[in-house]
Amino acid sequence: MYALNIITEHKLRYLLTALGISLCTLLMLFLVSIYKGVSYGSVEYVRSSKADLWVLQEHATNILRSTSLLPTSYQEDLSKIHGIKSVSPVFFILASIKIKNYDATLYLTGYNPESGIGGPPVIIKGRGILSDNEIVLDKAFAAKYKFRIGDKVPIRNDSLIVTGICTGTNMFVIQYAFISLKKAQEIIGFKYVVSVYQVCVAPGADLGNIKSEIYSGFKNIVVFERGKFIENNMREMESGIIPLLFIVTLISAIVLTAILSLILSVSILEKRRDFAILKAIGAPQGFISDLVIRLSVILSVTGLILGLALYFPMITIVEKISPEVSTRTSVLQILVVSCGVMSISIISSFLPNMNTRKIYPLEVFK
Amino acid sequence: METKYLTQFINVSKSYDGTGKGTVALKNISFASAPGEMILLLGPSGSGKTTFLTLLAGMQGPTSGEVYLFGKRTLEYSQRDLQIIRARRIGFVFQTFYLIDSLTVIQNVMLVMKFAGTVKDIARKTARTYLEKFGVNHLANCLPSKISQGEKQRVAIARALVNGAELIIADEPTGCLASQQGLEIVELLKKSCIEENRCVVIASHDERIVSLADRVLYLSDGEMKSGSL
Repeated sequence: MYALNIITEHKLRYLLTALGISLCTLLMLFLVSIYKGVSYGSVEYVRSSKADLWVLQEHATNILRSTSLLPTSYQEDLSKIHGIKSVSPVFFILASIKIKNYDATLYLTGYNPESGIGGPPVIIKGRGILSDNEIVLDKAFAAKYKFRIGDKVPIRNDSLIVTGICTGTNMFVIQYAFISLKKAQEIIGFKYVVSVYQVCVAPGADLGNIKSEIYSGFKNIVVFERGKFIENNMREMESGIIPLLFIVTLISAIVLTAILSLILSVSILEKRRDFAILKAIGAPQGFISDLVIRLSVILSVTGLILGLALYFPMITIVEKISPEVSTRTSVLQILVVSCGVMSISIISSFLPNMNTRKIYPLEVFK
Repeated sequence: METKYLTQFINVSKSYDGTGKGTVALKNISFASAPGEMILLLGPSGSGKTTFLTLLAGMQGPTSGEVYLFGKRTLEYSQRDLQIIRARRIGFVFQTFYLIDSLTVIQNVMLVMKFAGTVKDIARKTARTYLEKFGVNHLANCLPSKISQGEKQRVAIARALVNGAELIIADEPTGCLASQQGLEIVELLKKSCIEENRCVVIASHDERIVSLADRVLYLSDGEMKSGSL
C-alpha cells in the first residue's frame, strides 16, 4: 500500500516510467516472436516434409545456406534400392524478379506436383500447382506485392499464374514460392540437375541399411535422416539470427534495468527524508528493502500489463506495414518474457536498495 | 549495569571531528532520567540539544564518556538491537512532525506498530484508541497534507506513544505550533508521563513550558548549566 502510494504521488512520472518499461517489454516480446516466426518460416518446410531421408550433394548440410546440385539420373537409381518407396527431386533457385518496378527475390522451389512431396507445407488459400505455368506464393510475399489468386507473376521471360497462398514459408529475408520441377529447370537452364532428393522408405525398412546402400552406390553425396536434417537447418537458421536477436534483447534488458534503477534511485533520493524517518522510528532494513522491491515490482507489473496490451495491436500494424515480418506468439513466450521482466525488476532494485543503507536515522535531526 | 534509570550520561563529550579537538557539541555531561519524569532541555540554537537527543536515542555514540540506554551502554547494542529499541521502547516527536505524507493518519500510526511486530487487526484497534485519545480519530483516513499543524502533532504524539514506549524524545515539539496549541501538546506529553509512567525528554527553547517540566536542564555551548547528577 505504502509503495503504491509513493508511486502514485507522481502520476505522470509513474505513467511515463510504465510506458518506458512497456516499450522494453514490447521490444523483447517482439524479438522473441520474430525469432519464433523466422524459425517456423525457415524450418517448417523441412519439418512438414514426409521424407525419411534427404540426399544432397557432398558437404551440403542444409537447404537454407548451402548449395547442392545432383544429377536427375540419380532418381531412377535411388528408386531401385530395396526398401525405398519413393524418391522426389526438388530444385531450389534464388530468383530475382521485377514486380511493378520493384525488385523482389523468391526462393523458388521446383517439385513434382503429381507426388506433392517437396511442395508447400500448408496452403491457406486456393490450391497447389497442377501444371508448369502455375505458382504458389507465400502469404507474406503475396501480401507485400498484393498478389491474389489468378494474378500473374513475371519470372524471367515467363509469367506464372498464382493458384494458391501458403504459410510456413516466410524466412523473413526471403520467401519460398512453389513451381513445377520442370519449370524450375527451365528457368535456370539446366534440364538434368536438381538440388535434393526427398526419399520416403517403405514401412519397416531399415534406414541404416538404406543409407549404407545409398553411400555405396553414389559418389559425392550426403544422406541425412529427417531429425538430423531438421536439426541442421535449425542450427543454420539460428546461427544467422540468434546472435543478433540475443544482442538486441540483451540491450533492451540492460536499458530496462537502467531505467528502473534510475527511477527508483530518484524516488529514493526524493524520499530520503521519509526513509530517514522510517529508520528513526524503528523500521528494520528488511522493511525498507521490501519497500524498494515493491516499488520496482509495481512499476514493472504496470509496464508489463501495458506492454502486453499494446503488443497485439502493434503486431497487427507491423504485419500490415511489412507483411514479410512474420511473428509467432505463444503463451509460453509471454510467460518467459514476463518472468524476464520481473527478474529485471528485482535486479534493478539492488542498487537503490544499497543506497537506502546509506540513509541514517540521524538525518531526521538535521 | 543494574540501574533505576532509563538513560544515563556519565561524563559524556561529543565532538564531530572524532578527535575531541574540533567542534565540541557536548562537554562532559552527566545526566540520568527515570520513568515518570518530564525533563525539559532548554538552550539556544547550537547549544547541543539535538546532539544530546541523538546520543540519548543511541543514534550516535559519544566521543568520550558513557551513554547508558535501558541499562546497557549504547555502544554495546548492535544496529539491529537499536532498531528494535527505537521501534518498541522509544517514541519520537519532531518539530516538523515528520509524518509520512503518502500514508493516511491511521497508516502513519499503524506503521510503527508494524515495526514492533504487532498484528494488523490489533494495530488498527490500538491506533484508533490512541487517535481517539488525542482527539484526531475523525481524521484517521485523511492524508497529513489535509490536516492542521496542531492535528499533525497530535498524530505524531499518538505515533510516538502507541507502542507503549518508555522513553519519549521530543525535539522542539512546539516549534511549528501557535502558542496555545504548543501548550496543549506539551500537556498531552505530560499526561502520558504521569498516567503511563513514561519518561519524556523535550528539547526546546520555548521557556513557556518550563512550568510543566519536572526538571529543567540548561545547555549552553555544549555545557550543562544545571540538573547534573
